[in-house]
Amino acid sequence: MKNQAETRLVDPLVHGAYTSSQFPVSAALLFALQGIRLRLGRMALVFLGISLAMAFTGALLTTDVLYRHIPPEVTAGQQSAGAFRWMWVAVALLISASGTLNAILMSVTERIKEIGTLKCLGAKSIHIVEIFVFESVLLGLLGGLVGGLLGYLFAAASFVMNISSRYLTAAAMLDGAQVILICVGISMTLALLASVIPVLVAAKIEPASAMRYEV
Amino acid sequence: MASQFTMQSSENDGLLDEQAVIVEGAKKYYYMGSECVKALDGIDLQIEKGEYVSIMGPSGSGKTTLFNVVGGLTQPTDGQVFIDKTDISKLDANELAWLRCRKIGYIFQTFNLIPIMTALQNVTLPMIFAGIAKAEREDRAYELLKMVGLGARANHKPTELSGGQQQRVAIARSFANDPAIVLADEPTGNLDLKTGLEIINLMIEMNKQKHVTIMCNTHDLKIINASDRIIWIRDGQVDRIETKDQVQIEVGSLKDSTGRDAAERH
Repeated sequence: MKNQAETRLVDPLVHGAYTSSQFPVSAALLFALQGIRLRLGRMALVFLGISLAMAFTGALLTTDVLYRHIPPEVTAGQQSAGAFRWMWVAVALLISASGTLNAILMSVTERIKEIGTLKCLGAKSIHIVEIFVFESVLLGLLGGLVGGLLGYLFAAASFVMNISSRYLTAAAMLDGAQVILICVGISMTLALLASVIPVLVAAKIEPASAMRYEV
Repeated sequence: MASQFTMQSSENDGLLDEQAVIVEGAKKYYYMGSECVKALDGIDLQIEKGEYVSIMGPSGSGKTTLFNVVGGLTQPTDGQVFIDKTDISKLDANELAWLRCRKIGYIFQTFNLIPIMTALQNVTLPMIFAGIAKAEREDRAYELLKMVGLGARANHKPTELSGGQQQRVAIARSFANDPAIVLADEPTGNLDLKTGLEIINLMIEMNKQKHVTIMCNTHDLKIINASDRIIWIRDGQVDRIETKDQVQIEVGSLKDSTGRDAAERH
């Protein structure tokens, strides 16, 4: 009986077929958006945290850039932001990243049954990973964009009030605006890093145990 | 030796052509500390194509574990499980996903629809994973919803549907990729008597119309009456297998002498 079983070959279609399974990015994005929408209150808090951290970072970066546009004889070697202040930036970013990690991890554990269902219907672990990476990176994108913009505006306003609008030239403004892009970059990278642990949790979920799981 | 080998395999081909599922000595052990829980302890069974089989047994007898093992949701500790000629104990995670997508349909006690998707989107989901084009999968999903009598509810979300209607959507979803077998785990467990009966009738109708094999875990005596065979599971092993005729006699005798029959059974 055992020997007979050995001779049965595995369907050749199954082997190597996994390259053909598809899950469009749009579908993953849809799931990610819905994940955020369902937990809007909490996600808004996380978004706020990221925005504030990025606004702080953005403001310091912008101030730095704007100071460079003041003629050196005016600043007389005065620095915009001391090294000490960058430590605060690091702390803010760390807190926002851990907030993101926590939010995505909760999103995963709350949706274990849904993940199990998707796996039953033919989703591969990579598809599940996509959903939660998108969810995290979307938060990072929005937080970076809004936070960077806020920081930039705040820094510009404070520059005008504390120094002078004379040095706030178009070139300086444009240079400062690049900070928003930098903020988005930092924020999305952090979000991506923060999603690693939750995503590993989601990928490892076995459909059979997910089905037994009660929230 | 070589001729024997080919003869054996051709024999198997014949066997496999008729069988949707073959389980050979399937074991599933869970280790909790030093204790070993034998959820499945050497199950052998074969399910023919187009058959409607019910799995019966007391709670904790291993029905759900059997469902999980046959459905490729978990790997058996030992033994082999063939779904439509494929030995699932030899597949890796991605290959299992492929198999689950195209060869197996699932119906759960708790329906397990995706809450934020409409009935139509829920039914299209397995077809997305199978890589079917949008227009085609929507057409097919709509046809399936019509078959289960929910054509008018295609754009409703699960929360806007009753329990019975949700289970109908789940049934439509399980048939989406024309699977080799549909597995149902207590499909009427969360439904009232009348709705449960409707769901059973629908499953029988789908079984007859689409010639899809159905394996159904149940406590529900109504389902027993409808199935071609009943496999009784006890302590992770096959206790006995009954055909439809035997059962109908038994159900009849159950009405006459309930006490004695129940005593025999336990």
